[in-house]
Amino acid sequence: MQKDFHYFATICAAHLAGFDPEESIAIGYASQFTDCCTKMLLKMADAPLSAATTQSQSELADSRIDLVALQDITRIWASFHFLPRDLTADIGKKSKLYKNKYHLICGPNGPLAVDTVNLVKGKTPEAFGMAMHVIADTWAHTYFAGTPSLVINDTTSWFYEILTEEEAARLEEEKKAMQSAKDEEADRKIETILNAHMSAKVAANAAQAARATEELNIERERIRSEEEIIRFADGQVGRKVKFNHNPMSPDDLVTGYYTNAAKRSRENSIMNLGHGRAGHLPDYSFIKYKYLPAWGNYESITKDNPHDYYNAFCQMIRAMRFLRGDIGEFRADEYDYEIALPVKDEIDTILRRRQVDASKDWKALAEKMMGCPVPDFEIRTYLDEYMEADKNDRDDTPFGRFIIAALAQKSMVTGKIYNSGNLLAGYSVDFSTKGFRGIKDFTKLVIGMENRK
Amino acid sequence: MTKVQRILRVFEGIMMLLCAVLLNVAPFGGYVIVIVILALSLINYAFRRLIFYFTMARYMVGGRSILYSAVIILDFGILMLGFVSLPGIYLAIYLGVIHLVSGGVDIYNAIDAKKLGSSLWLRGAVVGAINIVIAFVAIVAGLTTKSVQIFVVIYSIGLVYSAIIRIVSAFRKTAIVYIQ
Repeated sequence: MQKDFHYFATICAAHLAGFDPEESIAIGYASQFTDCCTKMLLKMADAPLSAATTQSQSELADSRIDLVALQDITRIWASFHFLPRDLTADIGKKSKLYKNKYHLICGPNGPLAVDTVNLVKGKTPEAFGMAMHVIADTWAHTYFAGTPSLVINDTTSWFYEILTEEEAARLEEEKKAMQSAKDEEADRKIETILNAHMSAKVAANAAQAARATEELNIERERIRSEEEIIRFADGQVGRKVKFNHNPMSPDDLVTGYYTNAAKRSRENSIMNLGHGRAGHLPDYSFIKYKYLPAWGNYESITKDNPHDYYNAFCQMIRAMRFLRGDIGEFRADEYDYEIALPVKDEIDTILRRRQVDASKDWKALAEKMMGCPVPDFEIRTYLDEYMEADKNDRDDTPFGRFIIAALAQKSMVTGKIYNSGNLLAGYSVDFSTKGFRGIKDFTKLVIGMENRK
Repeated sequence: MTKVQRILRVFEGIMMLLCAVLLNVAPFGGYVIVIVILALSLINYAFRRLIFYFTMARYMVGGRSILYSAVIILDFGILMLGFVSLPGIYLAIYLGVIHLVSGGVDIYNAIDAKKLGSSLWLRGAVVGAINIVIAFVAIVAGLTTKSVQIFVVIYSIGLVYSAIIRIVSAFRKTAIVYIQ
């Protein structure tokens, strides 16, 4: 998911859950900040590096892939963006190495999702926002694991975007229009060159050759277009997704060209982290796609993002009502559809609109619902207050509270993974039995616990 | 990291340091040791790929390609062992080609890293460039002087660097406190 959902949509959900506009914005801000809190940013703010909730592309590119670095990566991505659904899923007779990776596959409504919400009960809006980020991502990042793994996260070239008949026809028309505009431009250029430099005879020959080439191209395009669009046995229309590996190249929603991570055959290559091999597709609310996950034993999976994102929205409302104290217990697979009903159609329209960033639409909806302006997300909002505060008072700033929430979440998820017999996220020491050991940054949690006592 | 893993890392580091020293003092020519180490590294890598296939990759879609690559690498490793009895010139050319390919891959990865905004892309590019220079030096030195001693020195430097990294990483704190 992106800023549109993690910030603006979360603000909408918080408001529907009963929070006032100021609290809703604070929750939305913390939710989006989970995608910004890198080690680089923490270093800049002189904050504990273990509170990192994400890694920038450059940090990942620079990352080593030894055991310690892999555990650090897994702690970050599994705790905040790819919360494992079932740490003990029974997958039959397979090696322990494989099972450990498989058990980290993300999905909604797992026990850890419930633990995440329970962990922040009675805490701060910053903790609520961070938890909402985690919950929302369980829906977007389903079927991928927050650890580098070829055998889990790889995808194949059998990857199709599911379209309705109307969408397929419309996109094909748009694509043809784009192509014909390009061709016309090329023709104009050729004509100019011909007029300027060639004799009449040569020009006639060249024009004849150009016509032949054009006919060939049309035929080629027709064949390619027929290959791209297929009809599945269930009647769904699929358009082949074409991936390139240039991170600077923007996704083209009309032609269906998307960017993804290059294939690397090393199990722990950073390119095999999360949904990198599926590009940004899991983060787009409008898309529905069908593909072969590496772990799926050659059975295809259809991921319906508009449907899943709506469930995420309604589950966030439910979770936040629990955090407000409106309901006594937060359980998996419960959604506040009725509360979202008045704005269901508007949300559905936003979720299904074919666009890279839906921030504008979500922002308009948030402002309409709350009746007040919603500021754009500004990363420095947290930082300035934190850096200007006295060192002893920093934990009481929004950023300080976010850091404590992040450390607690990371500690909880790492502890659960470790206690399931899986060492991929590293070692966890139970404070109640063994006292404090390990990374010093986590002393903040001990201090917090003693203060509460 | 467990205590055993830490001890193993330190042990591996020390062994690599010893190996680097041995390469430069061995009276029978370090290049034979380099060939054996390289060949064993390839064979070891091939076996690791085979283990990876049988423990994990065989469950994945398209995992059989891992098996094929392991067999090919194993073939290369065994082939390389045969180089021990060949004159140094063949080793020089062989290593030259390896460095040339490796340098090309490093530069390609560095360009990718730069696109991702990595601050370390230049390091990768420099390593790639050095690899290419080494490749040319190897081929030229092999053809002209029939000596591969320069490789033994460069290989030793690489071993020392890897050894230090291993020993340092063995002492890093890794556990996380869990408060229930």
